[in-house]
Amino acid sequence: MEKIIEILFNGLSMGAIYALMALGFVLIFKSTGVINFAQGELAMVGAFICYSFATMMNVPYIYAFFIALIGGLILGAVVYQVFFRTMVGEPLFSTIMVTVGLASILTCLAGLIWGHDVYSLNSPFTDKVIHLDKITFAQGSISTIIVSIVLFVIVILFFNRSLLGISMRGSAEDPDTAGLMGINVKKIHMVAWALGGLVAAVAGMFLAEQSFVRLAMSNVGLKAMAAAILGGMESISGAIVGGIIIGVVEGLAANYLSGMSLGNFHMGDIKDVAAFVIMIIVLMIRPHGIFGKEKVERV
Amino acid sequence: MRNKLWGWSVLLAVVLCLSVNSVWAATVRGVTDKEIKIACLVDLSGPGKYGGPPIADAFRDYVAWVNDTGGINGRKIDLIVEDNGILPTTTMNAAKKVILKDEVLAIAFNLGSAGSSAIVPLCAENKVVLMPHGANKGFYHPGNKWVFVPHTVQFSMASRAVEYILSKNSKARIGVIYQDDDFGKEGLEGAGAAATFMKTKLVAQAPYKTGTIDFTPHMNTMKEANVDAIVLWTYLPQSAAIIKQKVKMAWDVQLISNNTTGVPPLFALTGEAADGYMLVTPYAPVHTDLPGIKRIKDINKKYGNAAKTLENPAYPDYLYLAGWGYIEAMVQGLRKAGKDLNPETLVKGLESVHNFDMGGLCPNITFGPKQHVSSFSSLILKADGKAKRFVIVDSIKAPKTPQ
Amino acid sequence: MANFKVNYREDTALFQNLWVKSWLVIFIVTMLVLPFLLSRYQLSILDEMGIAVIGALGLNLLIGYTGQISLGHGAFVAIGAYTSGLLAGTLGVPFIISLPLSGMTAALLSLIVGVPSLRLKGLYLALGTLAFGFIIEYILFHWDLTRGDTGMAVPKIGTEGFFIETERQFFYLIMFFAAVATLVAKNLARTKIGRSFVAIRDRDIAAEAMGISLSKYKIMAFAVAAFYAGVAGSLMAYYQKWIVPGNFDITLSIAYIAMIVLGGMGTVLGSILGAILITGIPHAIVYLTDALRGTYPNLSNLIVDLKLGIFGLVIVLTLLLEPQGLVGIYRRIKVYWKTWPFKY
Repeated sequence: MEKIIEILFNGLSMGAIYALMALGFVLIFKSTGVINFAQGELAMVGAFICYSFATMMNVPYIYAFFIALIGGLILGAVVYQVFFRTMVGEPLFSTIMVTVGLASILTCLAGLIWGHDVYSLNSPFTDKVIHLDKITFAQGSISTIIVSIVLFVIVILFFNRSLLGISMRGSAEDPDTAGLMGINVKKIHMVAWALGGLVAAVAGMFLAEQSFVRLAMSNVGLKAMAAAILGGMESISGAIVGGIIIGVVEGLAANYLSGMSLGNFHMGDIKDVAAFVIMIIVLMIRPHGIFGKEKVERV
Repeated sequence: MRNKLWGWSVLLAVVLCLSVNSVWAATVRGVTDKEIKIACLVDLSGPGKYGGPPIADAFRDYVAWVNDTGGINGRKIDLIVEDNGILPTTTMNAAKKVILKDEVLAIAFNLGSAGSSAIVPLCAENKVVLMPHGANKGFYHPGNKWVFVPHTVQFSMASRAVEYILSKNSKARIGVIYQDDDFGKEGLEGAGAAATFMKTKLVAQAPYKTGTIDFTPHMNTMKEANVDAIVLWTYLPQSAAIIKQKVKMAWDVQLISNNTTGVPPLFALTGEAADGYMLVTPYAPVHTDLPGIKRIKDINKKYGNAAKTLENPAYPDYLYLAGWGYIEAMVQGLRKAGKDLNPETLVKGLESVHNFDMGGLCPNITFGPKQHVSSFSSLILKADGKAKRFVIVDSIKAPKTPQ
Repeated sequence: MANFKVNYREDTALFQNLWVKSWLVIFIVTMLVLPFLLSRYQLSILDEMGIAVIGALGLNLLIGYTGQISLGHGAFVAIGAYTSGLLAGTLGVPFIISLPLSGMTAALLSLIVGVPSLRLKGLYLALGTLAFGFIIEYILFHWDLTRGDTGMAVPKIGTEGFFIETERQFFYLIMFFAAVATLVAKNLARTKIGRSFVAIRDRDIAAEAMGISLSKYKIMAFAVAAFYAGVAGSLMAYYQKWIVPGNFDITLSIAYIAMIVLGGMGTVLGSILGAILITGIPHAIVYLTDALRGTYPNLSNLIVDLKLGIFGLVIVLTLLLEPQGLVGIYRRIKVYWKTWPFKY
């Protein structure tokens, strides 16, 4: 019983990270129609910014956290200004490939600035645990879950209550009409990218807190994409649910399947491919995801 | 018109085909009266970038010293350090460049085992002696005439690890966590062979996929099997993650790992939690005062940038030593090959290196016509978390398990 | 010089006039003579380029002509390489049989992606093919037959007495197949099949309304692309004599995409130009760093550092600045000179 609670709890905290990353995908995709393959790289850069301030310059962690948030925000906006401002109306293949190219450029630059080593991000929660009865909770996981919930609430309120959020929804629905209504669509797109960069930075820092800061951490982006697909690319609540499902399934698969093997294929590896398997199944059965709407195409 | 052109071109081609035989001059690739060209392929741009510079430093310092002290049989070494990006494709390009364009006599180092296997046919075809790092048993067993491994391989080190644990506690229950590639699997095989030889068995095994950082399930498996010691065939990030997991679980289990994790960043990643972490390695720590270490420190001070390399506490010195072991072995082979240097005599020369004294730096180097691996021996080190360094707990010994 | 066509045959001729034909002859003669003028190193680079041309042609038929996004082309190259490696290495099947079989195996396995492509479009297809690539890589790493990450040997081409082993022999072999692949692609593109591909790319629903069977042609596009990739993989396996799964990871797929993006999507010439340039870039970087090492060591180090992002940079810059690729530039220059001194 204790074990299953621990597994679910850890899965939930990993799921919160996936959900944050997936939220980034959804924010950008919903508003601009671009699917950002570089989301994991944005998260990696956010974690590295936090690391440079918190560990290298000994700035208190909470300040470093907010500096990295702003860094992610600016990075998202810059990426939009440099790469995507002129890409409106380009075919899907072009926008996808620009983000794929962007991913390798960001990795290359991060390698140049911070190096290819592994670093540890020292936060107040690192390696601290809370014991409740017989169950161990990592403080890092608790803070991840709490901050994520707060962020989700803010984002949902933003889209439902604020003027900017509502105009973002409007321009996502129909950019031309929104433009006619006096909404500055280019500004909206930039805000979407900046927010995408921000949530990515948060996800990156939590991920780094649970493990390490390194270039390869950007791989988590692809798993988060699976979460976004599962939830439906256009749905914020879908991103949250999708992220949590993938995190929990991974945790369960890792704990109950490891040790079993089929020839050279280890069942425990299912943890690492679970996200992709789920993604393929979703793509086969319900490409628009749990919360997505099926699009009717007209000639 | 068209037919005529065709006719001419075919004729031209035939004439050219016939005329080009026997243009090869009788020179030896990479060897002149004054110079020997040797290549060192390391990663300067890819995922193995942390390893490239220290190895290249060792090669440069050593070569500067050899050239300054008279060279080899009157020839100086012309060292070519090339970026191989560690991946197989990039390694292939680098190897082609140094063999076909720079025309080196030998490749004295190549980082990355997959890339090394990929270039073995190219080296064999062009008669280039290759010294692969990443050292798997497959490189010398069954072996290839042109491949020499001046490094204790993973199999031997894993056997040594298990034997050491059993020598301290003959009833120890041993588990293995390994990366599920050839590197990790060889560690598992070595550990398994030693366990069988010592008439016991490994009680738990947990593979992980390359890049994994979350070791909760693996450590749970180990805990459920109630192991006393875990043999880790992992790389640095994974070892650090396992140490952190151990702390999280508040479980005092003995960890023993391989040489790749014995670098200063381990302490930066895990702090004092690394205390007691053991590893098997062919190389002694640089802070000791063994004669072999003294010698390289002196040479490093004179020919290299000591403040940035061996005297820098954050420097991954084990990689410097690894590079040193490789070029030392290669130069001994070149010396033994004598004045008449060509690929064949270099192979003969290397095969006649016998028990070359490394002064405790690493096991002495012995090659033979039937043995293209320098040694099976290794030492056991233990992490001192407070001093942030490794100390020797067991000196250089070969495993008793048949290798 | 007026260029009137008086019958249908002339209009459909592959090589339209004497000008094109004479260039072709010069090109063929150059290719025949080249191996005797170049060093082995230069030849080895050309060999690589030839193999890349075959793979890029296939991908361009799929992405450039049919508009089906694939991020898993490297996986099909891997399937071809490993099919050849296994057939030749364990069963001793000769090259002449294993080469087409490699292509066919890849084409057969392409159904795994081709059939879902009937349901999936755009982004979803990109993700599906990406996942397919990861799965193939995973299998190659773990399957007993493929022998893990240190890979397996591929035997030489040929039998007792005659082996194809030198760079020069490989040059002729690879260039022969590259030429055949180009001709086939060129012909395929101007037949009914090619026109159906383009129709599907431009508007699939309209194409279906015109009577083009979407399922048939989409699957065919995947199969043809995979066949090309399989042949390229097979040649690569024989040429490198040793294959490891690491050769065929996502970077290979991205390199192939970079080729067709840089060269120009939807053109045969573009695939060839792109393949040559993208294959050449790493070698050019090596050349540049060597040249600068003595005089500007810092600059040389910086170039090495930037290597990792170079394909990404090429893709992004091409898409932002010249979405038509090199072929687009070539066309613009041609139009400029044709109409000079007028603007149009």
